[in-house]
Amino acid sequence: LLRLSDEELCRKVAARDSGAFDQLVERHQVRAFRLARSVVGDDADARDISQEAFIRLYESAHRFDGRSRFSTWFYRIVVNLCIDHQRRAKWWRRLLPLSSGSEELEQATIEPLSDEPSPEAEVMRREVAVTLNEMLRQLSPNQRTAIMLQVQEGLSSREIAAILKCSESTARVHIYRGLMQLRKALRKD
Amino acid sequence: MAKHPTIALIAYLREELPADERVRVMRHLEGCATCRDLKDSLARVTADLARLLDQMPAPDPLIYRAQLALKLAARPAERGWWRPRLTWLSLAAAGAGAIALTLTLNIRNRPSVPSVEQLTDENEISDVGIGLLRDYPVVTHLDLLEDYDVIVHLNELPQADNPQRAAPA
Repeated sequence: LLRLSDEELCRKVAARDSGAFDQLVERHQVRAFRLARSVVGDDADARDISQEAFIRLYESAHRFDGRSRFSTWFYRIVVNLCIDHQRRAKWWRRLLPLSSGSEELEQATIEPLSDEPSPEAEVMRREVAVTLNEMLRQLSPNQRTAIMLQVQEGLSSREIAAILKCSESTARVHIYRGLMQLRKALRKD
Repeated sequence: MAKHPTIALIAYLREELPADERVRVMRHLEGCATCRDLKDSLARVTADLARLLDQMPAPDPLIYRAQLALKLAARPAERGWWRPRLTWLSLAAAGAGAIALTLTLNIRNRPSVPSVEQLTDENEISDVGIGLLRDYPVVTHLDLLEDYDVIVHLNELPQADNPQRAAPA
């Protein structure tokens, strides 16, 4: 299984091969979590969303037709779930106007994850998370997603356009504008 | 100088551009210091971000997978509980709706059946001019009013000359 490509593993998952599913989870769990984290800005939500994406992958692996790369297909699931989550969050925010998004983001950064790192590592982890949050918060959801897919996943503009359901040139504009914003933020630091 | 190909710079860095466009951007960069600086700056930002993302915390992989396994295992059970129930409820609701609709349409479209008395009255007056139908309630009560008049003046009627009805001596 280790030698198989993602696409081959996905076909095995469609045939209900649990070993292939485990292998795909192992390969993509961190990246799926980070992508969701960068879009929704919360550890717990990102964990739930990425896990839900793997469940959807398990349930609908037979629909993967192999015309695109597995990563394009799978990250489309993650992004869709993030969009759904954002819509629900907006709905709740309208009902509860006292809780602002930025406060939630700060809270989410401070809350530790399930594992117990050393105090130094925890301080560094928080610093990185805060810096990233500060930087990514200035971007639109489309810019965040496009940049994450390019920088972290190494997807091409065409693949990003397929995931965001926009034209290739629009995807490039999202990436360019997002990077320009990040450049400003990094200069301030 | 040609327009700065700012948007295309990222694609240029990632070697995604078609050959002709790549050559065009390359030629522009040779003569434009501003775009060269921007290109280098975008490359640095991308590298910095990649470095930060590498340090981005992620959940413990074992705990993450254990949670995922639990969620996946719970999924068919949940489905077994609510999906068939929802299906039966939907079918029952649809059936009840269909019956209610049929009954409503049936009642509305059904021709009203007249009672036996109504039919008799209609037969009796069918030969009379249509103007009478307007005063139908008056017509139906005419005989009653007549009888009442007779009853009121009953004692004023003259005695009949019937010897057999006279009292015996």
